[in-house]
Amino acid sequence: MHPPLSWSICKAPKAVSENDVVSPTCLAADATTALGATAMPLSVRLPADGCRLFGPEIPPATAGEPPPQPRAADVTGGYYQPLRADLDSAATIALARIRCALAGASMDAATEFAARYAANRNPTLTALVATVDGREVALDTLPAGSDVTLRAGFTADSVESFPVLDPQSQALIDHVETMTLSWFTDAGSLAFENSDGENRWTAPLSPGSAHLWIVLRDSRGGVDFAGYTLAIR
Amino acid sequence: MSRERAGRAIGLALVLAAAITHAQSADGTTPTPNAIATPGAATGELSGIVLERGTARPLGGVTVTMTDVARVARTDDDGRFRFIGAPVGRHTLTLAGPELDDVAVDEEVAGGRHREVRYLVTTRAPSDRYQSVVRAPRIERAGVVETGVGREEARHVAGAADDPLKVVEDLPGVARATVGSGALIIWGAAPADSRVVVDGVEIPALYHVGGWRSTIHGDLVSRVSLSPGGFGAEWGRALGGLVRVETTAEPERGVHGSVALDLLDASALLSATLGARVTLTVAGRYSWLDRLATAVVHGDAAAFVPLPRWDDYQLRATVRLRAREQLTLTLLAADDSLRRATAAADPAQAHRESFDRSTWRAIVRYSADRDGSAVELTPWFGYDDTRTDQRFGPTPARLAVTSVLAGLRATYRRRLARALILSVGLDLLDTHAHISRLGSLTIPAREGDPFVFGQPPGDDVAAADDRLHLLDAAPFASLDVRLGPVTITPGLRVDALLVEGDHRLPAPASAPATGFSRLGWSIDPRLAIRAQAHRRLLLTAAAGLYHQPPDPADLGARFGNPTLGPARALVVTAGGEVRLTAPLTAEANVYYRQLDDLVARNALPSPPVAAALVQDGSGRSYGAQLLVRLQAWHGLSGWLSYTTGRSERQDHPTSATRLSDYDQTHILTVVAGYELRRWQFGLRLRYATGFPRTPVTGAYFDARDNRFDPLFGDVGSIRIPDFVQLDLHLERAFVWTRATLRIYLDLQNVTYQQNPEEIVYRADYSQRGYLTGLPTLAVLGAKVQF
Repeated sequence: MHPPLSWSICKAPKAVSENDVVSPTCLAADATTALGATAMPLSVRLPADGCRLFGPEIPPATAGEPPPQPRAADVTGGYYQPLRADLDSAATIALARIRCALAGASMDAATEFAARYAANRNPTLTALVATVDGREVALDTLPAGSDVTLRAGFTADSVESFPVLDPQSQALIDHVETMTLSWFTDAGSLAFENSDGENRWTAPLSPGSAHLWIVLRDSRGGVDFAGYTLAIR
Repeated sequence: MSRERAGRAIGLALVLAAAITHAQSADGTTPTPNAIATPGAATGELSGIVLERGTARPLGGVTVTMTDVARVARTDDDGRFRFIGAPVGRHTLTLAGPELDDVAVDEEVAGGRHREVRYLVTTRAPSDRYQSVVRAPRIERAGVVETGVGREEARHVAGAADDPLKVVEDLPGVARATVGSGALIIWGAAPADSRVVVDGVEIPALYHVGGWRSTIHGDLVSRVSLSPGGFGAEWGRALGGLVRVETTAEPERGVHGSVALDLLDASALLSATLGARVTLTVAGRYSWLDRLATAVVHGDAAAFVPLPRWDDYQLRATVRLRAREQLTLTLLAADDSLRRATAAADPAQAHRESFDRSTWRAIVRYSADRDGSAVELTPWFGYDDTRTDQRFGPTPARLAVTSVLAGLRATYRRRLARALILSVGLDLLDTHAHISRLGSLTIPAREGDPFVFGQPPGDDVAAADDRLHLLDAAPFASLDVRLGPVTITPGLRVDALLVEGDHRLPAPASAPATGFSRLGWSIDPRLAIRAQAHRRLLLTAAAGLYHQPPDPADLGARFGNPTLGPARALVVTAGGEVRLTAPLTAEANVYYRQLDDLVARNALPSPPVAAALVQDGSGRSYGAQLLVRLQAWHGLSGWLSYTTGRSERQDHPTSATRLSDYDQTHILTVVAGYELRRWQFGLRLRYATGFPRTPVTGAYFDARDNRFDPLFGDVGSIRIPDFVQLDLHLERAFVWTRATLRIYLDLQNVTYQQNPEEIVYRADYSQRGYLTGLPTLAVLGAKVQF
């Protein structure tokens, strides 16, 4: 039984010189709002000031000072509220996509964007298929020491199209989501940590069981995951 | 010594001075035995005159040394010298002076006789095609502590691979740059804070991308001088050092040229005289390193060291109008290209990068020198285009800068009195820049940014398109005042800087852009003092203010700050030069540079609009350098240079002081060359402290991007391990009547030292490692000169 994850919401925007996805202060206690230990799946109302701290909405200017510069979106036009999850001493940052107004867009572009943009839906994994020497095998009868080809996919409606305000032309450009599969295991060895659908797993030499996790991400922060128990004979 | 033999000896000296390796007439000397005074005496008398070859101008201030008996004489203003009571026998005389490379000649002194000799020597005038001089660090104009390295000696320095301009990297005050960068880091200054000028005209870089070659054909170079700081009022727009390259084109009559091939590239030069007044020279170079080196460089280095492609072309036409008056047209063009890609199974983690740079300059130079005054007028035009395109997974980053430049450099020097020389002039630079940027504000990285090699930039994608106009008009004046052995040179430079742009604020699509225009002034007083404290000891000191206009790329409203003004440096330096023996000299200098108004990133997490950069930074550099130099002595020559220094920055008044990214505590270079008949041997040993880096002290997992991101410690608090490398050069010349063939082998890193060049980490930042530089690299080349 694993201890529960401890969640908190980051309140610190990152500096413009920061390459990381969040400010390092998000790893400090005083820059976060603790949500406490929460059962999965997590359901939380994100702070209302997300678009101001991490998005394009201009924060209130100090009297006599010029207004702050709106933040730029990522390549998909997205802004993200950082969340932090702690398990023992290891910290993980999750980024929840938030919907903010377009910064600096013309009225026509903003109107068209509001009409066309649909909130991102999480992609959906399809069932994992394993083959050995070209023959499909059940996940509970994998030969010890064998090279297993693993194939995972996603449903057709997982790949969505969406408009993005191009920062150069200030026109709306249609984008199509890209998908990435990440693979994790606690036994045997995987050929790739990430792939576009297929991977190779070398089973342990001795019989037993292994766990395999697959995480499917789309380019707008959507995610699906699945876990499998593999039996090695 | 017979008349014929003496002629041959002096002719040899002239050949050495001219650094011409093929047959050349020796029209040098006419020793004339005088009347017998006291036959059988133990001593004799040797006197003579030193004249400039071609003009018969007497050369004053030339040191004439009898090396074997340590007797020294100095020519007077009429070029005359005299040794009274010189020991009988055969002596080697060396001639050394500010206008000529050291030459040596054997002379016979007979007992009780007076011998008169006449030396015609080739000076380092720009009109001498086959002259090349590399000046070691010195104070420009008034400091005038100069150390020369002849082009042939520079060519033979191990690691230079036949490129004389590469020797600048080995001079004191110049840090050892990261392999593949080609950066010039002088007295701890950022590369962008130093300037390279060719015939008084600024060029973007001395070296092609990667640092393998210089951007100008070596045979076109007359001299290159390095002034790491404290230069005179004639020069400005730089907080750091100044590298000046002078081209030349005055060949012998007829057609001359060279063709060279080696592992790096191929080059050629052709020069011809057209009639009595016109000389035309064309040169070019084209690289193939990127296509050959993949077989030489192992994978680790290939991923880190860029494998660029380059070419450059030069044309020079000289019209001799009258005596000491000429008009020169010089065209310089250079191109660089670099491609690098890191494949990954996950497209989100793939990285590709391309860099392209094209530059050209058209320079017209009129010079006249007569009646105690000299005039130089150099109008010029230029074009620079630099584009960097990167893609980190899906995130793009692009910086494209296109600049159209025009300039004018005019100088007038006049001797007002015997000990008073006035110099006045105008240095004008007009720049129209178009800057297009796309991507994160974190890229390109700035000095002081914490970073890890290979780390993707921020995922924000901003865009900007700015047009900037900078007009910098700088009148300057200086006065050389000679008070006995002391020369004092006060100077003043005033820069009027007009800055105009089309975006005062980042313009949204829904609003028209608002431009800006402003005019500012900077006043830079300079002072240099030179004192001949002893016939063997020269003391120098200089101090001055220096201003550097902002980089146009920093003036954009989205990525920079349109209100940025010039940064400022106060430089103080002092030193001395001791001539220990005729061929052995030692120079030492200390320096201190205080920097203010430096541009740094805005520390606020949400900076005000049009203020991503601010001008709150300051810094200082200080240190000392030593150069011990052996001029040509029995075929042996070389130098030892050592620089120790510290370079610090403070990005904001309240932030902590940190080491500059370009700080190197110790830089030691030993260069030695030995000439034995037609063989040349060269050696270069380099040691340098590693550059500072910011340590990674932890990491966290970024679940969205499925990667770890680093947490940094104090900026610049660790270093890359020290660098040590030994290079060798071996060359053989085959001389025929009308041509010379040189075959050389340049062995770089002969001990296969695995020098760390950059710090890298495991993907989860749990373990630190190093990218190592080049393995042993053998550059085999051949050059034909005719």
